[in-house]
Amino acid sequence: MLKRTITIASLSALLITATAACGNNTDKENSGTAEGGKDKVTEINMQIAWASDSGRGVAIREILDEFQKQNPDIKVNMLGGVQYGSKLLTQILSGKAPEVLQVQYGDVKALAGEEAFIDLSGDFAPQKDNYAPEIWSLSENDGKLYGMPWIGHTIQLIYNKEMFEKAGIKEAPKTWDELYEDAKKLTIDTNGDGKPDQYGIGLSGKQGPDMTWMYGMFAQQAGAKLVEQDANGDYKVAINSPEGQKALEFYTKLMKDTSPPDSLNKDGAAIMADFRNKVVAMELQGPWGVSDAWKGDAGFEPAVAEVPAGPAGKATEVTAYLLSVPTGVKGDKLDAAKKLITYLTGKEAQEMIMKGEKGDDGKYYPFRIPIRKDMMDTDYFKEHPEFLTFQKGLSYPFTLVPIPQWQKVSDEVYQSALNQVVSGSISAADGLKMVEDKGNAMIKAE
Amino acid sequence: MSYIRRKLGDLSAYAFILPAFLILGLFLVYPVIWSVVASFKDIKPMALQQAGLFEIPGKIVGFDYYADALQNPLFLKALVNTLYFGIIFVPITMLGSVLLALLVNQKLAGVNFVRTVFFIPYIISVVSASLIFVFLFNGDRGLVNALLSNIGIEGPNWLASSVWAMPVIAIMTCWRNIGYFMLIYLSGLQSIPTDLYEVADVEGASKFEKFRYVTWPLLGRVSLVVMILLLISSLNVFQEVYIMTGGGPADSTTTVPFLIFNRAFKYYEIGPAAAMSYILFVIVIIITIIQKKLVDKRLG
Repeated sequence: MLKRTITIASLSALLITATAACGNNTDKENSGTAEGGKDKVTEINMQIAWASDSGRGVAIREILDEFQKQNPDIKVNMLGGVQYGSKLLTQILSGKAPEVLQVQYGDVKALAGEEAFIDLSGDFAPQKDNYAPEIWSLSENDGKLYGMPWIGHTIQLIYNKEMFEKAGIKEAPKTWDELYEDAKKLTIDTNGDGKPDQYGIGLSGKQGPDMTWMYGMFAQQAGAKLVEQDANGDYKVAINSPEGQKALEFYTKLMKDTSPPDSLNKDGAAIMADFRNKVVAMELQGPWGVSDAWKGDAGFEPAVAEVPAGPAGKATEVTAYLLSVPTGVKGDKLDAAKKLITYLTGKEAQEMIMKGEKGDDGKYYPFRIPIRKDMMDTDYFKEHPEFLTFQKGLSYPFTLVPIPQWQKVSDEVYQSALNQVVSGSISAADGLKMVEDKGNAMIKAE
Repeated sequence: MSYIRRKLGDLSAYAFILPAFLILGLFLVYPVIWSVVASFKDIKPMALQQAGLFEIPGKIVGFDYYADALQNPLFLKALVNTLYFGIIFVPITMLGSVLLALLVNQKLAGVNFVRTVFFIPYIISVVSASLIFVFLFNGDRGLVNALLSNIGIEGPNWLASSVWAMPVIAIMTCWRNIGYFMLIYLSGLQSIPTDLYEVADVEGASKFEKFRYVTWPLLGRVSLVVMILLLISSLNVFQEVYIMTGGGPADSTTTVPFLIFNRAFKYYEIGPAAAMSYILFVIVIIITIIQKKLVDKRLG
């Protein structure tokens, strides 16, 4: 009887202890600082968006090593593995998230309103002039700075020089008309079976995010906007405009006449494979598009040109990874985190990004570009002007997610509407009207 | 005390089940209760940081999220798409697994090797399987269209067609799952007493008649389990859609789990996502009850 009582009491104690252990423990501070005067080292963690043992992880580790050399009082542990959505939220909620997080601006915007990140404007606002206003605005929410722009990409026109030469095209297209004309010239039947097997340009028609940035660039080149504020300061869907329709009609025509027939189910990765395999002569990609052709030993030299200008000029999709500090970081760790962000967003570390990642062949390949606008005079860009073109894109940026609510509009309405238009199911006018009606209802409901 | 002991029996038994009860309670029952409550609340994600383990923060919104979901045309379309997927997936997988089980239930040389081969698709990851089928059903250079063109048929652009995209996803899912359900049916077949077949032989029954009057009725309970499992699978289809079509074309492959994923993990809308999940849950329960009643009626 006594044994039974003891057993029950022990297990009950276990239950209570386990339950208590699951409780909230945000007050407990883990300083990670070794006390001891001169030898005091503050240890912080930085989460990157790729695996720590990947080429990109190794490249970033080298930059962090340089930071540690210059700041012996700070030790930075690098953690790999992309964290976004619920994983990012769970990390932050746990109170044990790494002190510095590499986060896509869309994820930061989604959680910024919830005060998930520390406002960095006090320390970093003076650096605003180093960035294009559109890039800076990606990291702001209600006037607060929830991350510093670190690395990112712009999209430009990558083309196969060999195919251009064979088709008698001397330079990359600079306008929509030239783009269409060149793409038509490059859409040819090379094996004589009566059907084209080489196409002018790879464009995405698959219902998904890739089509939205591809079309979005054309829309802004035509002068259209995704959203705009009304007189009351409320955001409204603005893409259903004559400019938006014109751009969508042009995109549809370009895809129908000069892209592979299965483009309706192609995303950016599939288009990159087509470019590498010489199925398409042009693609719209970031710097990884060039590296992919180099790495894949495609047997041709890819060239990069700025995106052709539309009726309203040039526009290209620009995105940025931000360096953010989650709420709850304080004391020495916060100071160390800010020091690291200062270093990583400085010119020295920004130039190191262009060294790129080490491929299997031992060579280095760029994977992203620095996001500061004053990097064009650095040695790397002088030696590799093809990458300088991506840097130029920072001066005419198009933002894919202009307001946090747009992500849902895009997922639930916009992507489907664009897909229906390019597949010919509905007209551009009807498609964009659908986006306007449903999108406005969704924005209003938020 | 003696009354309690009389009612509950040996109290030490409860001590032994306590660890299991604790684990199930914390990691299964409590999350279920939490999500039910969450479906009636407007939860701000960061409010969870300040909340204790047994506290669910947020303003009560009643049945608003359930009403919103049922008034959302995309949710209703996703429900129809999910059911459409199930209508293709469940019968083909059941039929295919029964046929394969009958095939590999024979005493033939190398039958174990054949069983292994049929099971392999099940251990292939959904991502790889999806990519294989994307290549097979590529409208321009896919193997399926190449074979069709050999017999003079011009195949459609499968995954870009709102008519064909869902059947292709369903067929891929059938291909992946048939081997697993074949094993379940195989165990069912091997539990049927052989003397029933001997009696059928004496009665002069044909192979089809033996299947019709002996095998299939005795697989009734197994079929019920298989159907419930398939139904749950079909209502949870997500990864395949995410990889193969992204929900398109024209939302024709958007399924309910796809929407739930976006709501919960992309927009941090915990309440609306939970409400959608429970609408789906109620539908699963209703269909399962109907299924069970039909099987009970048939088997007595």
